[in-house]
Amino acid sequence: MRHFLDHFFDVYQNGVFIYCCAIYCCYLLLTIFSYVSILADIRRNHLRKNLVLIQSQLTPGISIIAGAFNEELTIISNVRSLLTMNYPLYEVVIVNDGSTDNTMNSLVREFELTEVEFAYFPLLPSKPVQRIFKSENPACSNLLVIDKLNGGSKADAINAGINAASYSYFLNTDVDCILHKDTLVQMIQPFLDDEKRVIAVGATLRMVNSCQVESGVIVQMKAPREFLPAFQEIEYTRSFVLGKMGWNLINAIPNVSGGLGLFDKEIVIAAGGYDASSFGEDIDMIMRMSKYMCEQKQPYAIRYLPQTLCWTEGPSSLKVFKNQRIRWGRGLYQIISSYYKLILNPKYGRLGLIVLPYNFIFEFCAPVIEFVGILCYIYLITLHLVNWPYAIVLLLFVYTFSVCLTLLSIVWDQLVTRRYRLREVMRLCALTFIEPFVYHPLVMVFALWGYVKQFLKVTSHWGHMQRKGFAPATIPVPSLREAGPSLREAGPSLREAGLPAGRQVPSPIERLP
Amino acid sequence: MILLHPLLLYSWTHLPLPVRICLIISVISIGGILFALFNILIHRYVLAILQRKNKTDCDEINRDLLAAMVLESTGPATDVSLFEKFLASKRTRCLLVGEMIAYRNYFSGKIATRVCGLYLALGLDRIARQNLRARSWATRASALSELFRMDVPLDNSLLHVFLYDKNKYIREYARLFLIKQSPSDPLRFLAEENQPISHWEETEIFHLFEHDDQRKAPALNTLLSISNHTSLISLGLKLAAFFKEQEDIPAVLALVQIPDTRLRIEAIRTLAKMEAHGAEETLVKQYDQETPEVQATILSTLGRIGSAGVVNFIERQFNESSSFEIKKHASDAIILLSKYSKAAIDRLLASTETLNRTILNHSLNPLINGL
Amino acid sequence: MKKILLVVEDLFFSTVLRAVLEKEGCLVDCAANGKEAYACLETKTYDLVVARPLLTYHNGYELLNKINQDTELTNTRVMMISPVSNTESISQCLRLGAEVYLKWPIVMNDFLVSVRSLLSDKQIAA
Repeated sequence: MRHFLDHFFDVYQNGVFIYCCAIYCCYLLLTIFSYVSILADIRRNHLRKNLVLIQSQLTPGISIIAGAFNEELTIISNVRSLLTMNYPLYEVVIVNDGSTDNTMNSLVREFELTEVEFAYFPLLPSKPVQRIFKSENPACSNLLVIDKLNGGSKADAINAGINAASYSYFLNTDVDCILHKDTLVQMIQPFLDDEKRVIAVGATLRMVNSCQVESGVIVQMKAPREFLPAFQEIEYTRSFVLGKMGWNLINAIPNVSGGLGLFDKEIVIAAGGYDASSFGEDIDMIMRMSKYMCEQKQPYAIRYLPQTLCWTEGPSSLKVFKNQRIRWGRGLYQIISSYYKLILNPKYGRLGLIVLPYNFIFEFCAPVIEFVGILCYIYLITLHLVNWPYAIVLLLFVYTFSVCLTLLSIVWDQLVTRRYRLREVMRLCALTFIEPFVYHPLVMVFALWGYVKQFLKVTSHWGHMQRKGFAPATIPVPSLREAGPSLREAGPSLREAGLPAGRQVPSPIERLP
Repeated sequence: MILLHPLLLYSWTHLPLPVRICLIISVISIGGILFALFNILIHRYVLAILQRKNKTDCDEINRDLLAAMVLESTGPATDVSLFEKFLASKRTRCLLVGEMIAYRNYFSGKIATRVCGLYLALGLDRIARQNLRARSWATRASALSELFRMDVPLDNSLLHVFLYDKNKYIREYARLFLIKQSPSDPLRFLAEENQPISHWEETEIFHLFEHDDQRKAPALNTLLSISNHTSLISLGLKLAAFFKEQEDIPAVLALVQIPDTRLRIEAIRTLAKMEAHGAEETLVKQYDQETPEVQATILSTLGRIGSAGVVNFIERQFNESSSFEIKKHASDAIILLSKYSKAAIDRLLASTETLNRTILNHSLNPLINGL
Repeated sequence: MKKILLVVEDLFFSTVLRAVLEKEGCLVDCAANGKEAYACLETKTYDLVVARPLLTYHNGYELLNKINQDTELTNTRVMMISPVSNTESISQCLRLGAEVYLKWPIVMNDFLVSVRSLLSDKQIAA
């Protein structure tokens, strides 16, 4: 038995070490790819001028679709800020998803809304739409408000918005997100510039938690002061700047965030729209769109922009954070169980050969491997079988590599966005040193919790994050430059790579989504 | 130190391979951490100094340009020596060019011409032309962009070399230059090359015609040929819709039969924008053979160009079709033809079908359709 | 002296237009955004407002609507300047009460002619 256990642990730890090295090789490649991708985007930005699109009659129209549930605190200012986008042709579709507070009344009063007889066809499934409103104020003629029954998820609300949208492209966002005024003109560019048909475009999101916001406009951008949002900020930076920009170079982006994504409406409808039963409706939508394009044998691309174009309020309490991450864990479990047949299927191109295998092996399995690794480690410690010098070396390897990657993501981010003060950036850098011990275990545990809940099919709801609203501006407003909404979700976050057990402590390594 | 002591007893080669790998990577990672931290500090420090310097220089450049280009616009020719101090360093030179391009973005007419004159008088175009021979494609593309925005002509022979460059941005600028520099038949070479162009490039080419009142309508026959790439035909259709030249209508009408569905839809829409009233019969004849998406477009177009004769046809499609999209487009068309279709509108409003009434009221509502 | 409110968020453009209008002998106030424009309109009366549709806090259409609706601002005339050239935006501005819509890049001479016409109470073609 002892011999068997020794043999088992030898095989296990070598296997996990190889797994760890494989994941780090992927991260290293993504780091290099993201740098190349960001430089290419900077050059593209230098040559492509927004003004050409704003002046042109050929610029395609965009529908901004934002779901709202009990947002009375910030709805007016955020909708108003959506009506000030720097874009020649767009509409704003607000979907009131059965709010129980004064959201709807506030909208009606403020924007002089009147109920209209609207030819609404439920092409995509959603809960019934009760009323549709347009504004009698000619200044808000591009505002459309849909009042519907609560669908229990954002996907339901977005489907209703798509059904009523007029233009060929739609921007999926939350009404509590703050968008940069150039969001539309920046995000439409990959659709116009790529040789392949672009079906979705995403961009970087940031935390709005400590920013000074006035009437839905960011007056001063500040890094989050609270620990939990600050860790999330670091995670988002790594995820978007390193992860998504890296995947962008090889056209293998796994997900466009639900808080900010510009989509080709035709493809979304052909793929069946958003799935209201999914906990990861954003990643599920991308999977279905990609699957549809592969089955139609049409070359396609999903692109990402490194610029920060959206600000979201991240959960600052552990309870809300836990619910969010459990939901993401469930979402990832659902995705893998829905699309496992596509893994390593060459018919599905990059989706089958890169995106899904990577997500399964390095995103989905990692918390499981890590947790098992911790258990093995504890067992070996009790048997005094740990070679401590080697264990420390391995821990050092994992820790330094993960901190280095995170810091590099902050360096790459500085190439594009330099809105934080230096001391705020250094504070974030300092937090990366403790993130593996403080934040990462939470992410791992909640992800596993999500898997278990999904496996046991425990009923759960989206829930609602009680918004704190934004800190009032205490400095005089010189001129408005930014407006950003908040995101409800950024997509599945990082996971931990399991470390070789038996010889070293599992180290908190954030995997890139 | 006690922990490391056993390690010191072994030489490097006695360490297991995983441990050696880990040590090497740890050392590299620590180097990476230090590099990242110092990079952030130094980068931000240098940037802060640069921003301060740039702000001061930019303010001075703007003051001088405002005085010379805008406020003294009726005076004698600009005193070039006022600006020569900005040519001393590459940084100030780039700032000056940037501000000049900004002036040309905001102002046209005399101010734009004066700025261009100043650009040439200072010899800034010589530096940009030198950069056209740089190894880096980014430098070449940047130089092309600068010369394009400053309206500086380039030799056609040089442009024909750039036309076949590996880099797409350089190819695009070469095409834009050739179109800009060919007052007569500027689009012929596009059809001859028959290379695909991106939507962005379509926008830039369209921009050249849209914002230059001096430019007359180009000949679009070569572009509106079925043998061309779809992107070139699409550009031709957009230009045809913009210039609304009656002689282009037959070429557009011929494209209504093209196999590509998207182009067919675009051609039909172009007929609406060109107000091609003679196309009514062709579209009605073609209707039954088409897919629902194209049928919807035909109905919208008939609403723009139709006469009293098509009202019954549109009304029939509205009543008989089970497709929501077709009903909606038919409804919009009926409303657009309201001077002929009043009776039809009254009949449809009196209809017992809720959906039909809703669709028609939707089309009639100015809050929704902005009519 | 004629009073003009300039509501163009772009600092570069705002500086140039302000200098030109001051050279014309007008008193020019600059508002950095829609909110400041509202505040200016509440405290002072202007003969002309030169604004861009894209403004923060309140967009240019809301500003137009406010000037149109407010009985105390009946004598205030509005010129819109914008890079947007699509007919929907232009017709929306004119419907909301703008008397002139200038597309940029603007010809300075056209801008000055429009300003002089609006300030001299002459009717000009939109």
